[in-house]
Amino acid sequence: MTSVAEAPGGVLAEPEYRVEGRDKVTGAARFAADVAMPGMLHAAFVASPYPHARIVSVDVSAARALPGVRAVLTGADTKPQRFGRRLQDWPVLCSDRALFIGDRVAAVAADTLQIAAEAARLVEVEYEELPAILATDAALAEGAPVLHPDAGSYAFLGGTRSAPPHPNIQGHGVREHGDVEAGFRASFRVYEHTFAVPRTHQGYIEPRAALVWLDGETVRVVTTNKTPFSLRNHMSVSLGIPESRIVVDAGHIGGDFGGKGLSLDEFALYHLARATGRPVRAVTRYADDLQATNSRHAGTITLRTGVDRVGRILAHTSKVVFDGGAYAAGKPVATLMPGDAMLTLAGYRVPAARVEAMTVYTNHVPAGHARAPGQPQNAFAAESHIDLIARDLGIDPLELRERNVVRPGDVDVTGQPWHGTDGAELLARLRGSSRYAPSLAPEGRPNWWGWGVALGVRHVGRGKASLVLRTLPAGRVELRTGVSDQGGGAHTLFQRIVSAELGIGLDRVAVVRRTTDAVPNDPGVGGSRVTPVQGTAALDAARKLKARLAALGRSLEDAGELEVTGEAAQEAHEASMYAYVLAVTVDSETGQTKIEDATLVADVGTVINPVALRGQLEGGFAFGLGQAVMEELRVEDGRVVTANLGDYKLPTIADMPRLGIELMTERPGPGPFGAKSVGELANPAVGAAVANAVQDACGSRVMSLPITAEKIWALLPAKQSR
Amino acid sequence: MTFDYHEPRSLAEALDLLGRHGDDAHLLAGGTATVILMRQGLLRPGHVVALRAVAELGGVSRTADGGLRIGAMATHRQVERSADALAYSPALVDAFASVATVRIRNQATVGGNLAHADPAQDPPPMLAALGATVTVRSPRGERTLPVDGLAVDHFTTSLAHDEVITEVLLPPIEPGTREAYLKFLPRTADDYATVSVAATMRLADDGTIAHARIVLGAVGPTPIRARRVEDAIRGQPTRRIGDAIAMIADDVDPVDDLRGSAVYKREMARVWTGRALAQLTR
Amino acid sequence: MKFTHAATVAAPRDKVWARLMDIPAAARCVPGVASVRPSGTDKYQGTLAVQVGPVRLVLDGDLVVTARDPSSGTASIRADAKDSRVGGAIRAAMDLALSEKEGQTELRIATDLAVMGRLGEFGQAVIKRKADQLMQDFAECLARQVIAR
Repeated sequence: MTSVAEAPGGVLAEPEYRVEGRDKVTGAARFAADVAMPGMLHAAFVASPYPHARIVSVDVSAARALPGVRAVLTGADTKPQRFGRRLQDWPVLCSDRALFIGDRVAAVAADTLQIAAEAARLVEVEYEELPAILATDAALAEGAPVLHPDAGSYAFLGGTRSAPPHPNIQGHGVREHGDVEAGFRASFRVYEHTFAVPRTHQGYIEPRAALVWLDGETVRVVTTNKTPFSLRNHMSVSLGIPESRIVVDAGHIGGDFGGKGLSLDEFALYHLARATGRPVRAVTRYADDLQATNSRHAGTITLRTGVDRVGRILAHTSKVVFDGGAYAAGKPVATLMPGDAMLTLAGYRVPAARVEAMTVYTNHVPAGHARAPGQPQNAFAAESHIDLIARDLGIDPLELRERNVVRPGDVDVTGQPWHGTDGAELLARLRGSSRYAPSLAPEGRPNWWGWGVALGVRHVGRGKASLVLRTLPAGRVELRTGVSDQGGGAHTLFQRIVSAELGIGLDRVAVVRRTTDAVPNDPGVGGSRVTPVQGTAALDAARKLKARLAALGRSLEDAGELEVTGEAAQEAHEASMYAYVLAVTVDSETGQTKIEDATLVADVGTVINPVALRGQLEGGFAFGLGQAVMEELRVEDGRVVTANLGDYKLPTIADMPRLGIELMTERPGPGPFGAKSVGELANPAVGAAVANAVQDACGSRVMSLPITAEKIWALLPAKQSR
Repeated sequence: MTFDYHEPRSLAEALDLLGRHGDDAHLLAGGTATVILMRQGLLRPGHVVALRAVAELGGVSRTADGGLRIGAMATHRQVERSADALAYSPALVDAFASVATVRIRNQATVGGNLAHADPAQDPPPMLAALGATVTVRSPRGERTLPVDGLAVDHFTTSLAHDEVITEVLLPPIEPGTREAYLKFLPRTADDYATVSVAATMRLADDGTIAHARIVLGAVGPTPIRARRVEDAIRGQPTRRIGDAIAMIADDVDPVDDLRGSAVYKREMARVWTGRALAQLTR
Repeated sequence: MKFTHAATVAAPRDKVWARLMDIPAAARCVPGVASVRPSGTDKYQGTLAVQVGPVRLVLDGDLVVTARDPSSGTASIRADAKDSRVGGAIRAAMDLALSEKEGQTELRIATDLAVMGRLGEFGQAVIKRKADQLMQDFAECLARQVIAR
C-alpha cells in the first residue's frame, strides 16, 4: 500500500468541521455513563484501606441483608481471575492480599447507587497489615516481601514474558551500542545528574464508566475503554469467554490522554451481571479515579554523559527506575515498561550508550500509560541534563543542541540510524522564529528573565488496522470503523481523507462507528496511531473503491452496492521532532514563574485536520505545562492525598500563555498523503523547557517535577537577605 | 443516603424548619460546598432546607448611609457585576471575582460562603477588612456581629445551629481610605489562595498611617487579622511598614499542604502583605 | 502523618506516670472522648466524637497499650477506630516519653496517624490541624490534671 505524498485534494486546505461536533455541543452525544438499561443495577466496590494487607475474612451478611442489594461478591467468587493489558496480574477482586490503598476486595450490585454504596460500607473485612513497600529501592532490597509470588501463573498476552531479574521487577531492559567505556575515556568532561519525577494523572474530564449485561450467551459491554477490541481480548482471556461472545461498545470518550486503555470495572461487572441476571453499571468517582486507577509512572532517572571539548556527545549511560505500583496491568507493551522508558537522550547523535530501565512493583497505586508514556519523565531529565552540561561548558544551550542534534542517518540513543526530522533544520527554524537570547547570567546575579530551550522526539504510530467503506444511494459513501473518537478528531480525519481521495464533498461521506461485532478488528486509539494507521486504512479503502469503480466502469452515482475493506500496516520506524523556546520571568520574592512567550516548532508532515492539529499541539503544551509546574499525585504512607481536582490542579485556558506555533510540513511522513502524528508530540518537553528557562532567569535549578514556585524560591541564593 | 428536601418561601418558614429538625437539618444556599460534602458522604443530613426561594435574602444595594448591603443569597457573580458594589469598593469586587471560576461564582452565595467558614476563601478577609457585619436571625430574634471573628475554626462559625445569616452590611468607607485584595496563586488561576491579603488603609494629612486593617486568608484555621502589624504601623510614617511586616510571621498560623509548606506560606504572608500595603501607599 | 507534642508538668515523673497509665482517666483529656472502658489486659474500648464544622464523626474503637516501661518512663499506645456512617477509620501509634528535670516532668508524645477510607478524602490540611489540636489539648489537659491532684 502506498500512502506517500500525493497532492491532497482541495478539501484538506479548508479548516474542518467535526463530524461529532454538533452532537457534542447540543448534548446529544451519548457517553458511557449516560447509557441506562431497563432493570439496571448500580455497582459499588469495597476498597482496601491498607497499602499491603492479608485479607483474613470478609463478612458480607449485613450488606446482603440491606433491602435493594442484589449481589455481593468477594474475591472467593472471582479468583483466580486477573486482568491486564499485557500481564494479567490485577485481580478482579482480591482474595488473598490487597496490594494498595484502593485495591478492590468486594463488589456490590444494588437497585440504586446509594444502596450499593451503603452496602459497600456494611461489608466487614478483617485485614492483617503486612509490611508495605513504598519506595522502589525498598522493593529491590534484600529480604523485601515479594508482592507477586505467583507471577508465573499469570496470563501474558501475545507472547512470553521475559524473566525479570528480581521478583519485584515488572519489566526490565538494557540496551547498549558502541564502545561506551572508550567514549567516556575520550571525554573532556563527564556529567552525571539525577532527576525525580512524580506520579501524575491523565486528567480526563469524563469519569470511567462501564455497563455490562448478558444478552443470552453474549456479554455486552458499554465502556469508556478506547481500545474496545483489546478489551474484548482481555475479558476473553481473563473471564474464559470466547471473544465471539463478547460485544464491546465504546462510543464518545470524554478525554483519555492514555489512561483509558485499561479497564478495571468491566470484569467484576460481568460477575455481578451473571449473579443477578440484570445489567450492572459502574461510574467511577473522580476521587477513586485519582487514587486507584493507573497513573503516570513516578521515577528516578540518572543520566551520565561524556562530551568532548566542544560539547559533542561521546558516550552516555542512564538508569531509569519507575515505580510501577501494585500491578503491571496498565502497561500494554511486552517490556512491561512505559513505551519510551529507554529513550533517555532522544534527539541526539549518541555514538555509544548503555541504557537501563525498569519498572518496579510497590504498594502504590498502579502505574500505566499516559500521553507519550515514559517521555515526559525522560525528556525532563535529558533536556535538563543537556542544559546543565551547556552551562557548565559555557556554551549557549541552543548551540550545544545544534552541535549534537540528530540528522537523518545519524545513530541516536537507540543505537539505530535516525529516520525522521532533520534536527539541524528544526533548530534553525526555532532560532529564527523565537527571539531566543539567553542571559546566561552567572548564578547569584539573576536578572529574573530567562530563556529555556528543550527538544523532543515522538515516533509516528505503528500497527495494523482495517475499516470498511461502502457505497450508499445518491453517490454517497459510508465508512464503518471500530475507532472510538476520544476527542482527537479521528472520524473527521477519516471523512476528509475519503472525501479528498474520492474527490467528493464532505456531505457525501458518512462515518459511523460500530461495536466490535460489526466491524473489522481495530487496535483502538493510542500510541500516536490513528492518523498514520487507521488514516492510512481509510485512504486505502477510498483507493480500492476508486479502483473497483474504474474496473466496473461506473461512477459513484451509479455504483450500486459496493463494499471494500481498507487496510493498513504501518511498520515504518519514523519519528518526528519538535522543540520549544520559552521566555519566563521569575518573581524574585515568591519564586512564581510566568511564561511570557512560548514558541513551538513541530515537524508534522502533511496536515489533514488543521484545527485539530493545532488543538493537539496547543493542548499538548497545556498538558505538558500542567505536569511541568503543578501536577503531582502526591502519596503519603501509600495513600494518594490529592484525592480531588481541587487539590490535584490541572491548568485551564486562563493559565495558557501566548504560544506561537511554526509547523514543518515539507517532509512527508508515512501516514495518508504524507501525514505524521501529533497527539503525543508536544507535551513531553515542556517540563525541561521551563526548568531551563527558570535557571536562566534566576539561577534556581529544579531537579524534580513539578517546578513549583516554592521549589524555585527555596533555591534562590538571595532569599535570606531579602 | 436519603433526605427530605424543603424549599421554604420565607425566612420565617425556614427558621421554623430549622427549629423542628434541629441538628438533623442543614441549610442549603448555593450548594457549592454542601453538595460536595454530601456526595463525599461526609455530611448526611436528614433534612435539607434550601434558601433559594426566600426572596427577602437577595439583592446588592447601597445603603442610605453610603454603605453596602449584600443579601445572604446574593451570588458571588452578582456582587462581582454589581455597579453598587464597584462604586462602594473595587477591592471588594476583586475579592469576589477571585473565587474559583465563573461557574462557581454563578452559584455560590455570600451568606453560604461566610457560613461555610473555609479559611482559604477570598471574600471573608476582604469583608472583615472593610469592617463588615452580618445580620443573623433565629427564633430568638435578630443580632448583628462582625465578619471579623465570625469564623472560629476550620469550617466552624460562632453561629448557633438555628441561626441564619440574612445579610452582610458594609459601613460607609471614610474618604481617603484605600483598599486592596491580593491573592497569591502559584498554580492555576482558579485555585484556592496559597495566601491572600485584604487590607484597608488611610493616611493622615501628615502622611502617617491613620487607619490600617489587614486580614489574611489561607494561613490559619480562620481568616487572620494581622493585629501586630496594624498596631505597629498605626500613627507611623509609611516607611516603617517594611520593618513592621516582619511581625506577620507571629500573626499567621499556616500548615504544610499541597499549596506550600508552612515555612513558605509564612514568608509569602510577609511578601504579599508588603505588596498590599505598598499598593495602598503608592 | 507524624506529629510531636510536648507539655511540661510541675510534678515529679512518677506522679505523672501514674496518671498517664490510668488510661480511662487520661483518655478523658482528649476532647470528644465519650467513654473508655477496659476490655482486657491493657486493652480498652472507647468512642471519640470529632466535629469539623458540619461534619460529625463518631469513631468507635480500641486502644491497646503495646509497651510500657515505668523505669524509663516510656509507653506505646495504639488506637484503631472507625466511623461506620462515613466509612472511614483512623489508626494512631503513639509513643509517650516522660523525662524529669529539676522537679518538672516533660511529657513528649510522638504520634503517627493514618486516616483511611472516605475520611482520608477530607482535606489533608484540616485533618492535620484537627489531629494536632486534639493531641496538644490532650497533653495540656493531662498536665493540668496532674497538678490539680
